Amino acid sequence: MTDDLHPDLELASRALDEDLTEEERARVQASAELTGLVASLRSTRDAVAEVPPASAQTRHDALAGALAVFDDLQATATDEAPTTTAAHRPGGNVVALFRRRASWVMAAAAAVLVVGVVGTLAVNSGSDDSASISTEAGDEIFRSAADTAAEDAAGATEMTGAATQSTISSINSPAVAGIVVDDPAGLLALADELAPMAMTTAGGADSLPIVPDASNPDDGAAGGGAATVPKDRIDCPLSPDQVVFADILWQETPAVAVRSTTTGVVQAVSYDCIVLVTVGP
Amino acid sequence: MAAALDDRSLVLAAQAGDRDAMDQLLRRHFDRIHAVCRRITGNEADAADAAQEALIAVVRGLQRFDGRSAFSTWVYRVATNASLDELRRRRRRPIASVDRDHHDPHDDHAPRRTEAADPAAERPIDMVAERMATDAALAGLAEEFRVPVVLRDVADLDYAEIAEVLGVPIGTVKSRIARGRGMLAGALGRTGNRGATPERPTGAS
Repeated sequence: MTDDLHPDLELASRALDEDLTEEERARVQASAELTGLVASLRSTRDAVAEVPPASAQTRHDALAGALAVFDDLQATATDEAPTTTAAHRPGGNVVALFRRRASWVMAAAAAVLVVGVVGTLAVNSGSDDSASISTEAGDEIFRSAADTAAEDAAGATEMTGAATQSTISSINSPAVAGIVVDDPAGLLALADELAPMAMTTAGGADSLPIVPDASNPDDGAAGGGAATVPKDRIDCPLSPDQVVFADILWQETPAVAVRSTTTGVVQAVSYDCIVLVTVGP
Repeated sequence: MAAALDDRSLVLAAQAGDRDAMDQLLRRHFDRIHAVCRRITGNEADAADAAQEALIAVVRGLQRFDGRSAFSTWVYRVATNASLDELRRRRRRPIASVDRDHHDPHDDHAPRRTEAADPAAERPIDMVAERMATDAALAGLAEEFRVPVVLRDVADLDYAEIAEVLGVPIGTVKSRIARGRGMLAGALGRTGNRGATPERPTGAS
């Protein structure tokens, strides 16, 4: 099909598109054959360019469909507004994430250091009395670490004595994350520092709120109003008077530290809902 | 949103979430997008699907459009790709019987290919015959020639823009357009071949 094409076809085609040099243009104009070829190509071009228009329905459907996609994208973008806003600032999102992570690492490291210091002091004192392990210097360092971590934990729930129910935010934004705690005294000291509630110790160890076995889905439901920590972290129903006040590493096991606002009892509970230790006030 | 805004301003507004700007952009380019799709796919049903896909692709890809090329160039590239995708899908599915080989557009008694959804179907019979002959001629053209011809003669892109869309040198674009036009002219009974005698002489020749 292409072998029979006119040798000056490209010249004629470019003439149609007005893409000729002066010399080429003069050559085309001087040749009746080339002029005729250009005319035939023009006729062909006009036929190709004569396109039947889309029906009104086709047009409407296409535009409506595309705008619906646009609306969906905008709705998604709105849902992700904070991230989107940050992303629109050059490097803004990266910096924010980096800073947040760095803060958490620093806070955790400081907390670990503080707990270590506190633990050492406790061992040296040879006493389980939490009051005796809180030296003035230790308190200052501890508060500093806790305050830093608390500042980093955006939206962290304040843990007050008035708290009557554990909240999701308390574990999503723990005051101190990943604190290494290896002994009961350290856990209690941590509770007194991070959850210094004006609690009424109406009950003793016998009335400890029990963290039920997570393997039994009915367990704990009878407590009525038991709080459940988010499943992405821990899915253990807690008593209404229990608050989660920290993520800890209890003897190298990831856990949360829980305190009863009624009894003051402190527990370390693993992510699979096993009570690792219970400490009375 | 003012009606006189150019593409660039509308693109920026649409990228910022302005629905009216997006609407205006799509409406402004729809007819030519559809025309490109119509000429590449060769029939109304596939053109409608391809045009719809193209518009959606434009909406989805708008945030990635950086303005280095003209919006129209980008849009017609999208439309071209959507059309070629539609052709590939069409090849994988059975085709309703249309015997083009036995249809003579100059013979009123010959079987006619009709497309109910095509509004042009109600045009005068000679126009329909002309359109069908053009469709058949384009359909007989290899994609490598058909696409640049359509982008030049339907989308009105210049050589450089077509080269950008197709990712080939400008010289190749010129050559393919010329050869494509020549083959079309021959298929339509116009001259374009060396010493060609039209198989079906038109009244004008």
